[in-house]
Amino acid sequence: MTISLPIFLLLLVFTAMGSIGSFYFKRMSNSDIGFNKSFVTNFIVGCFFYGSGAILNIIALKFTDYTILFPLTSITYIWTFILSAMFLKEKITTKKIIGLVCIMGGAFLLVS
Amino acid sequence: MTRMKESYHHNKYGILLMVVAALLTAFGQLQWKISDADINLWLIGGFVCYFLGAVFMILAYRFGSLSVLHPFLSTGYIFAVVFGSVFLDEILEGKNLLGVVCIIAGAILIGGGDD
Repeated sequence: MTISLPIFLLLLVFTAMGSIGSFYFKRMSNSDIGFNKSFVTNFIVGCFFYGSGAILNIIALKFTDYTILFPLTSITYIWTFILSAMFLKEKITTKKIIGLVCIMGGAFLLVS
Repeated sequence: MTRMKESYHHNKYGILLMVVAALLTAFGQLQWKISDADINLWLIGGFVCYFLGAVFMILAYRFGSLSVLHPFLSTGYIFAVVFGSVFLDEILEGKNLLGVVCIIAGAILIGGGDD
C-alpha cells in the first residue's frame, strides 16, 4: 500500500481538475438552460476539466495499485470544499468535514 | 436537528438527482469493465451512461449547494460494489460492508451539513 511521489502529485492534479470541472457545472446553474453564452462556456470549460481529470485518472491507474488510488480519489471533495468556500461563499461546516472523513474512510474499507 | 432538516429541505432534489448521476456513472463504468476496452456495444453503452451521469449532475446543481451535492457522487462507490458482486461475482467481506455503512453515514452528515 504505497504510492510514489510523482503519482501522488498526479493524483493531486487530476482530483483538482475533476473538482474544477464540477465547479463549472455548478456555475451553469446560474444561467438559463439553452444556447446562451454563459451556459455553453461553463459547459465547455467544465467538460474540459472533468474529462481531462478522468483521462489522467486512467493513466495514474496504469502505474498504481487500484486499492490505494481509488479511495484517494475522494480527495476531489476536499478541493470542492475549498472552491465552494472561496468562490461560492458556502460554509464548510464541521458536519461536512466529519462526513467527508467518513466517506474517505469508507472508500478505503470498500477496497481493502 | 432542525438545522439538519433545513439543509435536507434545501438540497433534497439536488441530492436525489446526484444519486441518480452516481448510479448512471457507476453503471457506465461497469459496462466499460464488461466491454474489456474492446469496441463493442458495452463500450458504447458505458459512454452513454457516463454522459447521462454528467447531465444529471449538471441538473442537480440547480437544486442545492456544491459542497453538499458533489460529495454525493461518492454513493456511486456503493453502487459499484453492488454491481461488482451481482454481475461480476466479486466477493464482499465484512469490512467492505462496513465501508458502505461509513459512506452512507458520511453522506447523511454532509446532506444535513449546510448552514
